Amino acid sequence: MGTFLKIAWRNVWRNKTRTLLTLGVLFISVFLAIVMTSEEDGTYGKIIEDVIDMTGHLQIQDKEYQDNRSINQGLILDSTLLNKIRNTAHVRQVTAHLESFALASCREMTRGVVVVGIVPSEEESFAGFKQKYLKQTKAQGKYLEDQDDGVFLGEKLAAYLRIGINDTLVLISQGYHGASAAGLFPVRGTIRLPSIELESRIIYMSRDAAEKFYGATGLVTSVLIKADDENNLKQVRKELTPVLPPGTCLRSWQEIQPEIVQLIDGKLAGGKFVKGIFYMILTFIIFSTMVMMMYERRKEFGIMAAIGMQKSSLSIVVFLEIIMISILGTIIGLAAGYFLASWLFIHPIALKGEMAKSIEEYGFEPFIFFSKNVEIFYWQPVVVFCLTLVIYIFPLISIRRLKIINAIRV
Amino acid sequence: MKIIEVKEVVKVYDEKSANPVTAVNGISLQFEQGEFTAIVGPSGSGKTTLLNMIGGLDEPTSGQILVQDVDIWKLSSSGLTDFRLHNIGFIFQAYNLIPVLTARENVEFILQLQGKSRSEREKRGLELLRAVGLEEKKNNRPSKLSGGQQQRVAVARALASRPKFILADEPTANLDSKSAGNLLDIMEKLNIEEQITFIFSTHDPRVMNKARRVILIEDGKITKDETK
Repeated sequence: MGTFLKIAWRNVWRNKTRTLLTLGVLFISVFLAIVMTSEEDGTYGKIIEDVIDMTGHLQIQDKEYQDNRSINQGLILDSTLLNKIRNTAHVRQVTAHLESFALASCREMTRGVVVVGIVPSEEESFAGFKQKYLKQTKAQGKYLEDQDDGVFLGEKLAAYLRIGINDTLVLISQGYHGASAAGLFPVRGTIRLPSIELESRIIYMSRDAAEKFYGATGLVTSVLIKADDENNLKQVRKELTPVLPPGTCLRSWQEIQPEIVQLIDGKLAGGKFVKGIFYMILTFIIFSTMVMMMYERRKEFGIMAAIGMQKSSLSIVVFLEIIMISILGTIIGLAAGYFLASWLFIHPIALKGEMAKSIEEYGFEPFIFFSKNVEIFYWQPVVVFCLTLVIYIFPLISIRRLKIINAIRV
Repeated sequence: MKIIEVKEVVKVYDEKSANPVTAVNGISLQFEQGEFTAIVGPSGSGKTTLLNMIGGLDEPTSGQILVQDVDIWKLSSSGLTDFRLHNIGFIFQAYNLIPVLTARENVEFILQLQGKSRSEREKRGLELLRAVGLEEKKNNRPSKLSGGQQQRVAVARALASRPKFILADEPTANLDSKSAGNLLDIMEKLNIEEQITFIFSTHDPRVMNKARRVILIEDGKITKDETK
């Protein structure tokens, strides 16, 4: 094997220009694929993180609630259930929402809104509400107390209703089991959210106030559960399923927010397509190199076989050459990609001007985020190795079919 | 002692075409150990084809090639490669050394394929390079050697495995007169001293003069077989 390695290594550098060209293509492909994947993982990871902060990994809901989001499809939240959930392994945080619809009005402006009853202190740690949405997004006013009788609402909604802090908001709705619900709520503050649609239609109040408003004492529409790690969700689900109250079910964030999943899947598919093109170009160039190499060295292979080298040994030498080029190109691309992705992970790209404005319009932070998830870095060598194996089929077949007498006559 | 027996060997090219070419037409021959034989004849007479068939490189259309009673064309493909490795040495017109290996590595390569130990390889490699007068060039790659020097390395490589015989196809064709003479002297010396059988296919009168047996082939048939 030592001699084979030596022959292969020297053959790699026999045609330096060609080897450097192949290495360059490998480097660019691996580097771009890593940076792209890191950006996708970082950006979509951030979106998913935001969504999970809003919805939890899992929710306990009435079975009908997903299709009929009525307060009548609520569930009684007793302390026994809550304790069981909290004591389940890998459950990190639990909170519950009482959510329904209402007509919000201020002077002559009216709009249909979503009212979410939260436990402000729990929500703060669950979603980082105070930190994330009230402070960082320069929202105005103050955060709610747990027994607060006021509300805070989406900044867009406030603008539409032309309502300000300390103004009074009128809410009219249908309460639990058809009771009429109406109330006056002082505005404590406004909030920016990671969705322009949500920000235009959402009102938060304490769950106590929501229970009173809807006449739904002790009722919640969903129990939000956050696990310590996404990989443990299966186990959490398995442990919680037997303790669920009758008529309720567990739903994942993907089931609750299918449009987000669809959006990410669509974007990722686009990214995969671009990466597919990189790898196709890569495959084509390495394949072309192989074809040229096989053509140029046909006589040499014939001579080596004539003097007693088995075709299988010849195949090993060629395989080693391909692997050496692949490993070299991949390592260089990987190192450069890792370095850049790591740097961008710490220093996300801040968007400026119109681009930043349009991103902010959608409620997202005007940054391109990057991830340095280890999977990004080991998948690229795996892909390149698999491609190399596929490309290797060509020289393998060529060597197997090599007619020594024809080869040495070239 | 008989080492090679060629029995009624025929080689037809483009057999299935409208114009098949019969390169070798029913040749029977025997070679004894220690022969220094030249197969001569005009271009296209079939001498190289005969050499390639004896060397297990080109399969006869019919007939048999027996090397020490082994019908080499009945061996499997890998069996035949193995047979060539252990029994036959090749010297080609265009030297055909492995360009990425040094002179010494080229010689030792055959021994490596045979699975010989490192010390054995090094000892034999140096011994052969010394025999062909290239010890001081042992670390040079083929591109740093002259044509004559490359062919001498090729001779050393052919001898490395201690083959039963060496087939040399026009070994002096690309060499100047001095290099050709030098190479022939080396091969003759090895033939005499070590009883190594050499079979040449050649046009070169210098080879014919050195050869102790000359076989003339014309139109795929032996027209003269003369031992001096």
